[in-house]
Amino acid sequence: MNAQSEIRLTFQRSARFTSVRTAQGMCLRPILPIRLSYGGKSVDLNAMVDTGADFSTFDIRVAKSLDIPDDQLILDNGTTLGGKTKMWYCPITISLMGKSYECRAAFVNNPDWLNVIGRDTIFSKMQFAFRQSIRQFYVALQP
Amino acid sequence: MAPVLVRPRYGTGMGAGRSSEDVVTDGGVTSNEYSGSGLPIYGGVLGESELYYTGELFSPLSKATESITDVIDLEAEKGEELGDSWSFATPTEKIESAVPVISRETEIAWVASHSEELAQFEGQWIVVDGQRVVVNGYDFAEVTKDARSSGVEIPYVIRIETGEERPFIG
Repeated sequence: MNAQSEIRLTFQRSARFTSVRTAQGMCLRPILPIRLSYGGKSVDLNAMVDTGADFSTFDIRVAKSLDIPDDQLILDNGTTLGGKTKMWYCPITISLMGKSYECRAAFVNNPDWLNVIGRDTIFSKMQFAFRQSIRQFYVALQP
Repeated sequence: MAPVLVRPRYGTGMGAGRSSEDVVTDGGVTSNEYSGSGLPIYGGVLGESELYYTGELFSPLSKATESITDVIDLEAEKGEELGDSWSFATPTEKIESAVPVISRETEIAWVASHSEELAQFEGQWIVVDGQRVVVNGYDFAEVTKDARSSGVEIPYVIRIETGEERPFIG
């Protein structure tokens, strides 16, 4: 069995890396549309799959858009390249690829933050593989 | 024939290694075949698996070949799910999402084909509903609030890149 056949057996979906122009040149990001839900509210946005992120992380304004009450946002610290950073944690529902999971999301006070899909819960339920050389990444809808 | 809700099973049979996703079949033809034209695929990520459609970004890798009788096995996957390793998290998978399914195919295609027109919104969040920009602004929460006020129940919020984004390093 060749590598491509093996990939086809394991992963049900492929996606193309999104090309982004940065000050340091073009870079490729594995971005997927997702839905965030809390209570009766939902919002759809694009987020980057980030294997290095413990939690799916968004700007705090995303939490506000979902009307998450302040007392449901647990203030704690997180570590980013900028060092210790205040973060607010809250369980929300994240839907992607037709599946929905309860995840512990983190919110940072940074309007320029790039939405990221972190490992919490989702990586225990789905598999991801990356083949940037051909600008493809793969998603398996099972653990 | 009316669509039938089935679920491919895990194991070593025909369905081995395939999705645990619910799949709608119609007369024995699984939904993946609807998008099996060989064309590239757009999104559908938010929606049901059967709604993956042809476009640019996403494509089904495996063409489900199970017959209905082979794949109707709702019990087979029980016990297959792995628990999450985080001790403080109690994840629960929702097999059937309570979130209404809305395909974003139209929006993704429209945004991709109107990049020049959308350049006026550089650095802003926009809410796209169908083939139009409903609202735009720099504050995510305000934009979604305004979109809901305009009757968009679930806003699809996209940030228009500035053309020279900063690299993201976590």
